[in-house]
Amino acid sequence: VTLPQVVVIDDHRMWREGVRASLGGVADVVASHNCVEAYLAHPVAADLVLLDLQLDSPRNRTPTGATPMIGTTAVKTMTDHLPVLIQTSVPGDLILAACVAAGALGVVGKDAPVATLGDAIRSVHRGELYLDTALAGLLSVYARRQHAGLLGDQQASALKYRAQGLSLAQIAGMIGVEDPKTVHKYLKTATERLGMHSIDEAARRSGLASGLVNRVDLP
Amino acid sequence: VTDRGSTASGVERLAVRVYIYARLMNLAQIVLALPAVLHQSSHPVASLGAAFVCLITGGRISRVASRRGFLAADRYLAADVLASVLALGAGLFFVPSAQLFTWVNWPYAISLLTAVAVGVTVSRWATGVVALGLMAVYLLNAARDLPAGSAGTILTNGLAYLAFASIGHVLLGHMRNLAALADAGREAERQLALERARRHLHGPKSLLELLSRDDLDPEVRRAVRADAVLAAAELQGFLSGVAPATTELARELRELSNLFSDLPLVLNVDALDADLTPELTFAVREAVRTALQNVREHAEASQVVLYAESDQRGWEVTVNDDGRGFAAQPEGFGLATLVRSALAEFGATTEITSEPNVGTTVLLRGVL
Repeated sequence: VTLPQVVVIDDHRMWREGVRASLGGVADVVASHNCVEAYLAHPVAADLVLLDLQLDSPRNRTPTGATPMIGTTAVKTMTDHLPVLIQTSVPGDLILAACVAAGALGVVGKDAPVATLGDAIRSVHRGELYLDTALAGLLSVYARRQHAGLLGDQQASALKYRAQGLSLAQIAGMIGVEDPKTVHKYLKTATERLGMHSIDEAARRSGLASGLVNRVDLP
Repeated sequence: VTDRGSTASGVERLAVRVYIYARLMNLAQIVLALPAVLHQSSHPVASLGAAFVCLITGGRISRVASRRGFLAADRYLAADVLASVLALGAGLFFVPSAQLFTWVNWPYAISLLTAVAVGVTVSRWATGVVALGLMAVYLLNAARDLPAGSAGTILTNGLAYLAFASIGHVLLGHMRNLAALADAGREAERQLALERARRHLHGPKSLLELLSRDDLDPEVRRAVRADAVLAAAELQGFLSGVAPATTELARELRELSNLFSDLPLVLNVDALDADLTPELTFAVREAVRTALQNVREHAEASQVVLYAESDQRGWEVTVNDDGRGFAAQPEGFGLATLVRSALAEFGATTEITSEPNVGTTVLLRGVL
């Protein structure tokens, strides 16, 4: 069995080293970089990229000495090269929905156990959306409160069951569809839709640095 | 009726006591009437013998019934009935009929009590048959050369057998029904208290079990000890009968999740926006605590999600883990029995689904 080949992009060296060490037996880290620009300077073939959302820590610089691209711009840029799995310290933030809209195929919290990261990597490797449970919970509430009617019933249900922690196969059983891929489609559409409708809200609500969400990165 | 502390057995013992007191009055009457009876009877020995037999059978019933606590349709009662028939024959037939209207007429009082004793021990129809029989014997023996105008009195006396036996039957029947209701109510109350105690003790039990493990992960031990401090305080509240007073379930769940920092717990309770009664809030929180304790003890989960939501119609809370799961609910699974009954008290439902190596979901749901 060949393990998924992963590129890690994170502005913290210890994190990159830690991920490489702890993914043994789950994935092969074929390259790691401090920013997207560094990867673009030396692109390698891989199955997916594990991408940090905020690459703008004060002393982090691109190879040319510039400030690294972040947020949806980083996501959109990387999506052109590799499937993107976002690893973030803010899993319950609307920004992440915008990132999915910008093309990311998965979101996983940095506080999740390594086993969960392994699940996320395998899902994205298969081409399936991996939606962090906390983000699903946030989106589920957001859809109910701010955007009633934006999601179809099946989409809303899929999001709710994901927020309860169920797997795609379990959700398929709950909402009565044959193929887990259908659930994947529901979740992806729901997240993208909410992501596109929540850009301003995300910017307003987020306590994160500005510039993470950029409307031009979204379809 | 075996439980001597029950209301039902109290009713039976009351019947026995009334029987014994009444028989003692019979005895007093016989002793007082005996000189007159012996003087007037055409067969003094037969009259004396009948009185003696009645005292023996009444005494035996009193002894047996007081020892076992109830009157029964047994050979002692049959002997009592036969003794009454004998007394009516020998005691009435051999004395002048004028005596029937005086206090010397002891067989009447004796046999009337026998009819009542039969009424409280046998079925309605058997009571009727025995009472009619005693009435017939009384009338046959009493209706000899009656003084003019006394037929009505004799007939009324005869009907008293039916009346007294029926009153005894109906009265004690009602008392037995009431006693059964009282006992059932008390038993239900006892079960409920037991259930509540079990519920309150289940959490501390899990904590104690965990704390007594030598190989407990230090991180789990820290979380369990923090939980133990709270559990002790809550147990104190339960023991002194102080009810918890909180209605904000979402906040309770957030606080509860802090006690399970050793679990890979994701908290999705922002969609819960309902105020429940303090009692229900407490019951739900304890149910979730029990579910999380089960996850901690058994599941070996890599993700646990506590989810809650509400709308205008109702609320639901789920605890989902991706741990070991189980095929069939094992016996003594505290969660199923305790949680279900605790929530059922408030009309809320509990569904537990589990699959080996996939995980377990506990779904708690209620209407608003």
